[in-house]
Amino acid sequence: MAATGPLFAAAADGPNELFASTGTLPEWTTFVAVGFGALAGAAFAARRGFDIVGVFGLATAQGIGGLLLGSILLATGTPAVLTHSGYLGIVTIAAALGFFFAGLIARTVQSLLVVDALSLGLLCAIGTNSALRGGLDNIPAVFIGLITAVGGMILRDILAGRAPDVLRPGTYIAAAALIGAIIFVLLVDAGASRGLAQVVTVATVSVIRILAVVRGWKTHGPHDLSDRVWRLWRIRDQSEKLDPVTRAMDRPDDLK
Amino acid sequence: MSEVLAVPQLVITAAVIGGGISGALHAGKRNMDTIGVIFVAVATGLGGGAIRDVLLAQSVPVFLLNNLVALALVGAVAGWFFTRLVAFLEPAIFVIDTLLIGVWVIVGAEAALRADLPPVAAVFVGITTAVGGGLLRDVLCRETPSALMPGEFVAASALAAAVIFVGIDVTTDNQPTAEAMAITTAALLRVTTARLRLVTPSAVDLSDRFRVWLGLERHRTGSTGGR
Repeated sequence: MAATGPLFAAAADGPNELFASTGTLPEWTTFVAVGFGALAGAAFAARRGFDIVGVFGLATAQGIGGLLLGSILLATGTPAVLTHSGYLGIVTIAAALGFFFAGLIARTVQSLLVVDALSLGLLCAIGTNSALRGGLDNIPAVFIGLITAVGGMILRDILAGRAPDVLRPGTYIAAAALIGAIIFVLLVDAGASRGLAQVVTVATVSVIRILAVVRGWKTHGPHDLSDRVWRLWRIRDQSEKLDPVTRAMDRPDDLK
Repeated sequence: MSEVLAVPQLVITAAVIGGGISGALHAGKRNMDTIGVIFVAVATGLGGGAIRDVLLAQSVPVFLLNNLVALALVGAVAGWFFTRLVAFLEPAIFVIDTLLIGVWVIVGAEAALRADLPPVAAVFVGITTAVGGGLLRDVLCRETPSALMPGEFVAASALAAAVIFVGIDVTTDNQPTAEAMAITTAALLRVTTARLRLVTPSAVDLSDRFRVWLGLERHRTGSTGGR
């Protein structure tokens, strides 16, 4: 086991030094990412009629949820987002702002696409980095990076009782984080320094995210190739309306 | 790990069984099958403590180290087979439930403080422990968690209790007083607000007033959010 990542290390490590080993990205960037997520979560909750605990809860979920999930999965002691009061302090302030100024904050959050994109990339880089430092293999590290980046949004939607937006076709959020985490792992494998990999990841993820919004890129739902595969060795009966596989799989009561 | 539960074992037993009953009743009303009822009952009874232990990551979750799951199952059976009897006991359950809010908060916040978490985090863990079971129950039933929506002062009482417990405990280091104050506050707040039929406050949007105050726009009539 390699040394554990600074973010997910226990409180004994003293002040939170996210990028202690690299010194490329300052610590306040994480606070910005957490604060931005918390503001978005608080405004989300306030505009959908949640009560005071709900606003606090959804702000917490979206603000620190991803980092929390990442460190719980890595199991390296009490999560740093809990042992350093700065994170929950920021979340509390964001929740209070969201409780009273939901409209203003929702508009601000929407217009700050650059900050949104940067914090997505940053969380992705932090998660992947800590997983690699925790001794994980490449593919699990990509998974942890993805969870850290979008876990907050998923938790928020689950707590709000709806299907996670991130997982639906259309939004280019998880896809951007996935690409970023893969790039991080590949760069580190190729011998690049952690600092360089972090900067490149943050840049890539945010550029993809911004371009996706500006150019209107959309992710797609699944394509069902079963029938095409079937046709490769079976000549279709022209009188049939449906292909055999579709007919076999889709019973009428499953179709709404 | 039993010393993590500074609260008497009898109280924990009651809390877990009560959570199991409440989960089983909830799931029973939603046409779940036996496995579903058992799942929801166990999640409701043990969810808060389990979430606390996962968050603190100090040891294997307490409910895996003793027979708390069996207690939650007892609650599930009671809620599943004796629905009407439980409905008859509703007032008693309300009283017990009210007293238990503060207990759950203490169970969470105390463990957090012992794990050297800062006060803010202790408050957060305390609330999460108190409402975590209900949260899990509602998520499993695919509903918006009632703890987060306007309604009874359950989560809000937990919030008040957590702030008071952590505040007194950190400033004066007098834990018994802090525990008593927390349980009393939560119970009083819950009973009073239930009597007065109060609903937890939802967000107020002061954005437009703020913009007027800044001089960004003249006062508008009937504006709500600008769109």
